[in-house]
Amino acid sequence: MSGALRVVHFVNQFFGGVGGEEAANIPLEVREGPVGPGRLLQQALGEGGSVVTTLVGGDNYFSERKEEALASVTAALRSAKPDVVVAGPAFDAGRYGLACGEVCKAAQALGIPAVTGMHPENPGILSHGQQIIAVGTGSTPVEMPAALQAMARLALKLGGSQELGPAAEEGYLPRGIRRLGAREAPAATRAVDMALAKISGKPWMSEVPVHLPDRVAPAAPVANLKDATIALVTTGGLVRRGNPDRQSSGNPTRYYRHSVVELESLSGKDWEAYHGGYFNAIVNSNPNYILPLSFMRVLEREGVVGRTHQWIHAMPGVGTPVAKSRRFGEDIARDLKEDGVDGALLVAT
Amino acid sequence: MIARELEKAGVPVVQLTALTPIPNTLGVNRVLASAAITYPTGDPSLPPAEEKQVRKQYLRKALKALQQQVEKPEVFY
Repeated sequence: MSGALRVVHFVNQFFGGVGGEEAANIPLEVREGPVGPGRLLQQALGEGGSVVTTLVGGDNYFSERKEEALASVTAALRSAKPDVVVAGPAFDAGRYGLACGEVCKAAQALGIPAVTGMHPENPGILSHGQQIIAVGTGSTPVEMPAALQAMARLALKLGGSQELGPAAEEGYLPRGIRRLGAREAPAATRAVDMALAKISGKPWMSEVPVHLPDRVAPAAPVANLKDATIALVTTGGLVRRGNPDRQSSGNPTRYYRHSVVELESLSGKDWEAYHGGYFNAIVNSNPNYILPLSFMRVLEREGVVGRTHQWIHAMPGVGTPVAKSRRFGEDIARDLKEDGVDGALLVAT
Repeated sequence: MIARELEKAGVPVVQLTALTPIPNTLGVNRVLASAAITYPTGDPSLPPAEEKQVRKQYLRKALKALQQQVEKPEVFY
């Protein structure tokens, strides 16, 4: 097989045919030629590559004696001199996935490209996903042939020193790397094409993946409004008139606390909005539109609500990155908890 | 995101906003729809006496939503 790439394959004790959990402590074994799924890998590689060596290691051995395990892998790779390393696939097996990730990184440290395969939620991806090339698989070995096909294709490319294209095109899990490149059409044209495809019910794919945040379990409702302390919070950019605190008009670096304990209402003479994301004039004529203090006082007097919290929290919400908003939220929550607030109204413009 | 953090800490929140799809998508649990971005808790196009009632009613609705048990994100009107 002249010209075929030299491939080293890593499998765990189970796929190496040594045994199950009872054999999970075995140290690294170096075998000649393909073993177990390695035979299928060899078929998938065809003439392009040859599985010259198989490394078999116990799942627990890799977890519990990691340094020793990786030193053995490095030594074995130095002597086998492969062009490319293939590890797994590990599917949803956590220890195996972690071991595959470590083997890939050990190979890369020697300048040898490597590819593995596992379920996208395998701990191996969560720990090493940004540093390794991994094909996404299902959770069970039912998908062995498809996974090995995809891994073999990438192994031949990597071993042949070809550059890989984007994750979605090449079929590996995204590593979060962005590269500059020329697109076939300008952004406006692509956006219109996407909109047209969406309207006509054709398949389309956004170029901006959106990750929705997790659900937050609803807090218990206010049980006794008549005795409750209710805090008022606004992202409408409420400032004292003339903006003496020099708040920015958007993407704030902090939020502001003002005491309203002596106020019946927010007067346009003393308060205004400084916010670059909406037309402020109506709020400036009556700041209670973004912080309804005046009617809270009315409802307090009528005995509907206990009291308005003495501190209001304000900031201009526009253009604030999510991480920053989260931090503001955590800090405001801490303020309100310390002050024994029962519930909050958040006015967002 | 602020509303989410307050709820996480156990402080129930009603978010008053005209842009209901945003908090709804983010998973804010209690959202009260308001008339407009530029005057969230009232409506200056109404005669003053009538608007007073509207603004008071609106705040009552917000406080009512604060007392409401919810299981998942809800928009109140």
